[in-house]
Amino acid sequence: MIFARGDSSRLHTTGSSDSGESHLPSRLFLWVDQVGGYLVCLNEDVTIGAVTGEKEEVDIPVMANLSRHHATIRRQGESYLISSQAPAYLGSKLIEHESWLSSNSEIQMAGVGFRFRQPTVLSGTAVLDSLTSHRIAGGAQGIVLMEELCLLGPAADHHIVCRFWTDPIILFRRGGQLLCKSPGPLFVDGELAKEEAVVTHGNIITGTDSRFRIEYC
Amino acid sequence: MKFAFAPESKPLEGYTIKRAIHRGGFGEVYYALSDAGKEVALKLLRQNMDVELRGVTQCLNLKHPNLVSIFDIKEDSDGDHWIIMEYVAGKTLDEILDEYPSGMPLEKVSKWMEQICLGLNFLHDRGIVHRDMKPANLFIEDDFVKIGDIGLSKFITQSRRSAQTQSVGTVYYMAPEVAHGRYGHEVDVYALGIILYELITGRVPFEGESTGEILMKHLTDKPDLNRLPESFRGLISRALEKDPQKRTSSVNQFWNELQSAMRGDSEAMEIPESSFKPVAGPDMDIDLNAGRRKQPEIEVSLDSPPRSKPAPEPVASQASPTGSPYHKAHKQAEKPFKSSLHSLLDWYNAQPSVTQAVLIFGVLVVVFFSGLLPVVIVLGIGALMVWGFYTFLMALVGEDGTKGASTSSPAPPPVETKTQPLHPVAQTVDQFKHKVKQKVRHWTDKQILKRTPPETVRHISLFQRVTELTSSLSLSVLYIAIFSSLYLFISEGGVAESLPTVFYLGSTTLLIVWSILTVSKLTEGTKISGLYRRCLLIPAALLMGSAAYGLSHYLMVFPDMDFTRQDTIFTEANNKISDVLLIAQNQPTWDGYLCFFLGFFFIRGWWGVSDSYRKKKLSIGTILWSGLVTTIQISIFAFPFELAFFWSVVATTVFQLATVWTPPRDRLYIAEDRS
Repeated sequence: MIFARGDSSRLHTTGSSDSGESHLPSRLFLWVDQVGGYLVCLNEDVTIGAVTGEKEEVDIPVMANLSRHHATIRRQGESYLISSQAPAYLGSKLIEHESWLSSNSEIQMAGVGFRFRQPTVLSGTAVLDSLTSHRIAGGAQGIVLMEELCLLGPAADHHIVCRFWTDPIILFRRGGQLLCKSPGPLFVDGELAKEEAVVTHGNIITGTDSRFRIEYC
Repeated sequence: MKFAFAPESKPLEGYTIKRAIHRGGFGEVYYALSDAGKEVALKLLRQNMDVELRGVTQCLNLKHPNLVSIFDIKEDSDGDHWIIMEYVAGKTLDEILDEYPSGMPLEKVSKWMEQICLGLNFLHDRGIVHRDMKPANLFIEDDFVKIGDIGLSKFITQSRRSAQTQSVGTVYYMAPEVAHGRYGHEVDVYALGIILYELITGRVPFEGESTGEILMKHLTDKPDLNRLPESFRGLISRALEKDPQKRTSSVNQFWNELQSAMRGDSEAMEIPESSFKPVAGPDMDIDLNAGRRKQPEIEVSLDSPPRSKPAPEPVASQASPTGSPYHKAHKQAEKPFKSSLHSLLDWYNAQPSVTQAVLIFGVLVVVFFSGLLPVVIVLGIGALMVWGFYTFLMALVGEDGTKGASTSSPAPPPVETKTQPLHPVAQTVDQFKHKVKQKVRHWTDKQILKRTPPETVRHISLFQRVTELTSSLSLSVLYIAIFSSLYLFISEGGVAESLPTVFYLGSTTLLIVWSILTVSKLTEGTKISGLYRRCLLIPAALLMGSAAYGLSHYLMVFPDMDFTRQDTIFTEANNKISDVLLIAQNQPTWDGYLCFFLGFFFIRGWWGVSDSYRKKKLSIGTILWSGLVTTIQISIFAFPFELAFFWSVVATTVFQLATVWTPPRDRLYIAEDRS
């Protein structure tokens, strides 16, 4: 792994693209020490449905009595729309065709509940908090619908709140690559990153008192 | 926090670590998946394995819905032992409590406490004492509570001799008899009482700045039951008895009493005073004040570990503070007076600041209007002289008579603390230090400010006090010169005509600032109450009143007070105290000056304005508040408004500008350095 200041798209790194083509998966998993596992959805359209055990599954498979494809959340700019393929409610209102999601709105479908949040106005990235105890794919504690960046850190307006951390870590995409940076020292697989670094499947990112692993789904 | 194993490690065959969960009392805990995808928690044991393994093995086949199941124990290729446990996905009660700073709804408390009691009763029924009950060991998943760390804490006494046995939370839940090394099932009941208290109120009953302070509160302090609903007070009081023999006898009894309390039919019961007698016995000799005689607050010595066995009685103890005839006679003589005075002061200090202000105001009104002012002044000065002489005498002799004793008695034999094993309490304190720091570091500035008000007792060296005071006194001259000069701009006369007034304003304000600053800085960080601090300012107020009156006549600067003016809010009604006139011929009299400065120095709590632990370096609100207090004062006891307002506002501003202010983060570092 090589790190450099500024334009990291020039770097030759494992899993990164020389041509600038996106090699990013539609979903990835972040295993954050002392915090939990988080499913990060990178596509504009994110589907929600039941766990089927088949190869082709929805983006957010929930072990619950849902349809195979129960609802879709679509990102439009920095806003989000939900459309349902089976009965679903936004608050107490049935979603008939499409509805806009606002921060802190609650989605209910067949006993499964999610709270939709956009923790910071600085980013269009949203978070889905599970309101019920249904198991989400891979045992995720939370779901991040990532626009351009995902903030991991101690503050309440971070997308993944890691209360024991000192410095936040920003995960962001640029030119079809996933990168990370932090105001504090940052290591990727044990190597010191200068300002920012390209990260890919299997990388372990370590900060002052933080550590997480990226796993492509 | 660094963990030994990285994600995707496979220290045990068949299990892949995905992430670290936490570093607990006995080792690191990881979230892992079996090859088939089963979620488990893997606990790595690295210290005292034999001891801990015996405890875990004993609990290996216990099954209860409210206990975290232990699946197996395995050894890796390095010879380290791993406990494979059930993974509970939810939050710990500790994390949930953060969401309820004022306590949880009673229905939820009842529901969860029932499950905790069921799980704990199951353990007790099988002869196992948990010994480390705390919210961080209680896991909540789908409203089901599971008790974790079973078996690991059974041999806590032995394992405490090594590093890494406890987490920071434990000290809040530690029963007093743990200090003696006694670990019956009563320690779990005590912890249950603390947990219930915390669930209802959002706070633990014994809080403190240091672990030592908290431990001492467990040993000696009475919990504040007023925060609890009345029906719960008896239940908590019985569960928190210092004496384990008098404590609620079983978890079952605790649960029955809790149900009664929930129904509201529990009789309210106060804890008898006898329950709060310190429980330190001969086998527990905590050194409270070693090397810290100047500090009023109680601390467990972190440097010198307490002895596990009673040390040989030093010969010097025959003449020790508590044993000396002088000391006994002295104590007996002052006891009735001191106890009544202390109870009065305790009661006063317990009142909210508004009540305190009203009380002070009421006393002042009574004193001024009853014509007793001269008598009170004479008595006050006399009392202060007696008190000062007494304090000086005590400081000379040593409050405990130690100085006298040490000169005449042989030195005590050296205590070989280094060669003896650490007492559990000292060991625990040592281990908690680092974790307390870790926890505290995550406080926000707001939280730090809330926890470090100006009243915070802290150590400030004499050198630091003198340095800060001299620097503040010097700086105040500059600021006052600037503010006083402003008069030139508003004065209608020329510079030459205005100079005496400028000098008068500057010199009087400087005297005010210097006198208040001196008292405030010398008492900063001490346990001296607000009333004492106010009393210390009385002589300064009297001198100040006389000086201001004298200067006014010397410089021929006479503040005008014209009652006939249309714009004044004051009337002659507030110009008299009994037969004493405060204003005569439109000028304040000497009595008027004395009255003003007594009120000015006494009513406002000035020490908080200049304290380095105040909320902000410069607070406009504080300045406005001073102005308001002075306005109210002079609307009752007449005094020229402009002059009083100038003194009040400028002095408050200068206090803040000229004194040191410790930013919140620095307060943490100072606290860390101290501990």
